[in-house]
Amino acid sequence: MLSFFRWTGISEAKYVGLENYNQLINDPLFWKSLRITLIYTIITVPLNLVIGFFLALFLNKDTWLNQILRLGFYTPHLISGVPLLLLWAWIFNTRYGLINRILDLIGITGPSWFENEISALVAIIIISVWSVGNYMLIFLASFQRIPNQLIEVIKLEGGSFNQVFKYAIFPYISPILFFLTIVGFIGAAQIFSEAYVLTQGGPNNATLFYSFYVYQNAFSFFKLGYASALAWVFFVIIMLITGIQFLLSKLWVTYDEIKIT
Amino acid sequence: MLYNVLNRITKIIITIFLIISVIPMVFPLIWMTITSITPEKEFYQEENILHWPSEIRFKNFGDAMTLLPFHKFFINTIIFSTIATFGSLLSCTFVAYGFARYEFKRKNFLFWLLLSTMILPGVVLMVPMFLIFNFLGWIDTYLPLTVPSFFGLSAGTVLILRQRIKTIPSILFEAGSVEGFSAFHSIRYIILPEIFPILGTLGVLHFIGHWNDLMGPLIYINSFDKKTLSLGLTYFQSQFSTNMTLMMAASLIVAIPTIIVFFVNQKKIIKGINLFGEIKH
Repeated sequence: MLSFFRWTGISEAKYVGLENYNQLINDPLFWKSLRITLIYTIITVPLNLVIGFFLALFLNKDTWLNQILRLGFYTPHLISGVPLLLLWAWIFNTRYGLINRILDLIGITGPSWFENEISALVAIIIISVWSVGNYMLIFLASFQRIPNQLIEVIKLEGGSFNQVFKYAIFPYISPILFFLTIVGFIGAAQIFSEAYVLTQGGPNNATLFYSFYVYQNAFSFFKLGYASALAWVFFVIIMLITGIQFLLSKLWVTYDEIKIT
Repeated sequence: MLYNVLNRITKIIITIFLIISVIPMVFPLIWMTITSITPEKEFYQEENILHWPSEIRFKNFGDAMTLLPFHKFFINTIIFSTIATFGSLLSCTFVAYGFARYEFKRKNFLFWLLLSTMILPGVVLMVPMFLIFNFLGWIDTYLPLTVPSFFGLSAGTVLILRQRIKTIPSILFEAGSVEGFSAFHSIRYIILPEIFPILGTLGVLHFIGHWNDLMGPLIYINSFDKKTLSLGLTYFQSQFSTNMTLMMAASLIVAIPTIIVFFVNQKKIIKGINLFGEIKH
């Protein structure tokens, strides 16, 4: 039902201006925001997956220390949304922020995080990786479905970690991994609040994430038609990338466990 | 022998590394809490990183609440989040029931169409939805934030509920139809008791999602009195950004729901069970 809503909305906007698309191709900010969003996504999603995976791997055994560490790595999820961003706005504060105060102790003058093009993007990536606990927990849960005997047998046969990973772990977690890649990719590509709360897209448009650029066009510049064109192009790009991911998944995902229908 | 020793050493190194890397995970929140009870002057004077305030000032929370009409934002957010959550659960249950129990033409196609909306970026809907609500004259009301949830917006929720409903033995429904149950009766007396725990988990997820939603209120709410907590907090930041202690106090207040969820689920986290584990598979 909702898909029809969408359709009319978009076809209307499309009708209003083909020139919008012309303008879009020649808009350097469009390319820049697209590039930044892709860079952010390509860095954060694999980073979160890899760190989350290894955390889960190391903390898999149920010792008391591991249990405390699990809780520790999950604590960032105490807060989310705008409170989380305000906390980080302050951690990255040039004068009073936590990071620069610590750097001061070792005698380094910290950068003005949100005033430098590279460090602003790095800061936002750090925020994303800070919440890696969620990935860890999902991996931990999926590890519990791996039969222990299988791992024992491979170890008895003198198998290395690589072999354990290849034959015991990977086939069991590949559906989850695939699910997380898709969801993580779409989630990261939609990053908006960070730009709105922390940087307003600055400095020099270094954190002009795509959603924020669309928002700006629609509600700050009131170019609704142009914003629709931007959104439509974004939709096509996301669909293409997700489609490619689905095609590639046939090569590496063990499907016999997924039952969607 | 040597192999074993090496193995031991790597294990110890990894453990030490993990213990060190858990510090930056936990420390910001501890510092946030300490800051929120530090008198403002002390915060700026103090050069030390870990500084226990000379006087614990819970009044910061009160001050933060009165600087802006946070009580109003609180009520606004609770009302709209609750209604939207209720709407999502209600509509998703109906849709899931339909997909689980009825046979109709193009059912699979429709279901995949529904699932495909999961990969739809929210930003694509932003402008068309705004135009629709603008046309309806709903701008600056909570209608755009609540009404859509009554139309089964969340495909993931429908999928989960449908999977769960499918596991209910159909003999129950047959017994129901012998008793002359309507669809509503079946949902009320057969399905609802079964899916109640899952509905609870999903409800929490939806509620926090709405609670933290920034983009929606940003687009649709204009007047100051109608702001939600997320919006109010960004406004707080733009107005009093130098007042760190109060900002942290306000942030902690707004974070109350997620903090509650964290502590309620503490045991699950420790055991490494996915919090929303019953949802997947």
